[in-house]
Amino acid sequence: MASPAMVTLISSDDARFEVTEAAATMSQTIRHMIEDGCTDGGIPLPNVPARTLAKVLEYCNKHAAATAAESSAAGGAAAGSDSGSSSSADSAGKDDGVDLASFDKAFVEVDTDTLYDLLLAANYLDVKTLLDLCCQKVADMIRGKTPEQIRQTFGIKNDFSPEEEEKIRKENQWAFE
Amino acid sequence: MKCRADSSGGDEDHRAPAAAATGGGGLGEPSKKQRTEEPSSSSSGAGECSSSSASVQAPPPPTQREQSAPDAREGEQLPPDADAGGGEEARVPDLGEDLVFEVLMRAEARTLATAGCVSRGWRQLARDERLWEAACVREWANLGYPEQMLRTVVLSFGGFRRLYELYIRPVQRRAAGAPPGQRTGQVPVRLGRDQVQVSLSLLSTSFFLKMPNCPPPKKDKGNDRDKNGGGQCG
Repeated sequence: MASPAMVTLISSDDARFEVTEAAATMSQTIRHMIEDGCTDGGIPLPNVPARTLAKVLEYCNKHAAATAAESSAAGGAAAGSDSGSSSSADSAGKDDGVDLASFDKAFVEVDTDTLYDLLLAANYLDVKTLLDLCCQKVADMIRGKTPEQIRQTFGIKNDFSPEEEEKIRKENQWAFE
Repeated sequence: MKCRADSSGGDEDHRAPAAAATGGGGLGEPSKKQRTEEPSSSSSGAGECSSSSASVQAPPPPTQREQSAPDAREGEQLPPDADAGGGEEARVPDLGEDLVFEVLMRAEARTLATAGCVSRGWRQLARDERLWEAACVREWANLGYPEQMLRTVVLSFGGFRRLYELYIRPVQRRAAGAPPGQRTGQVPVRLGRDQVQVSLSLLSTSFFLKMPNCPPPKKDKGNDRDKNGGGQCG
């Protein structure tokens, strides 16, 4: 591929984002839309606000560039330099697994609102690796928390009766020891 | 991932419950199938929650038109629970059962047990064997045993949750010789093979012993007779 194909994504609040097809198709949802030929005038993503979409695309750009760099390094072709320069990540050509891992780690170092938004967007857009990343982060977040703290984290109402709660706590007593 | 069908086609939503009822996934998957119908509504609602939360907080990153847009959306259709919650809770979007399940798939066993105490819905969710399987397999591997060994004993225990409670955890604690409040991360000392075998056979035996008096018969008379019968057999 000489110059990378571009697609336009439209967020729920009508912001337009132009990205390489390689980055966009990290989302299976978008990949299917492109395959179905629904790309004229941009791809609407009614469930994703601009702020979240920008963040998701940052992730996709980085990973797509890293994948391209990896395959070009393996193939020894010049194809990688094209996709590298097209994306915002300048250092893409030299990226490797370690760099990507630290990028991922830093990427989810965000406040919980943003993390939830990312999680929902990753699920809707079906970006598997991002969904994994966010789910793992949330799982780490609730590790070692009490039920009450988990309720607060997820905004859940305690609908147990006091007796029920007592019984269930006893059942799972080992987790609180 | 499972939500794609829900979100891409509107007509898909109407069919979802029927599909779940007929159970497309065979015997092993029915609970998961049922679960997928719920997030179709909750995930879209949660999307709106999150956009409204953006307007409440007005955080720094790329703003562009977002300040005007969410207002317009709020006028159209604000999910009822978003303003009902108020304050702190309004900012927590409903992740939906599917996503909570995905999160719990990556949680350690202790977290699963705690999650079971959160609410009725979560209790139901956290009892899912697949969650305990994932946790057991991970923590079993940390103990340094081959996975095959785990598989062979699971059935006799009546599931992964019981297995964890009865076996993996005690062994972990014994192996670490640790205070009860031990944290994750550290790989405990490896036990000898004999030690494991003995623990296993002891636990299997105790499980076996429990088997005869499992189903309590309904009739009082029959109850006595059954007890006697069970005693004779054992």
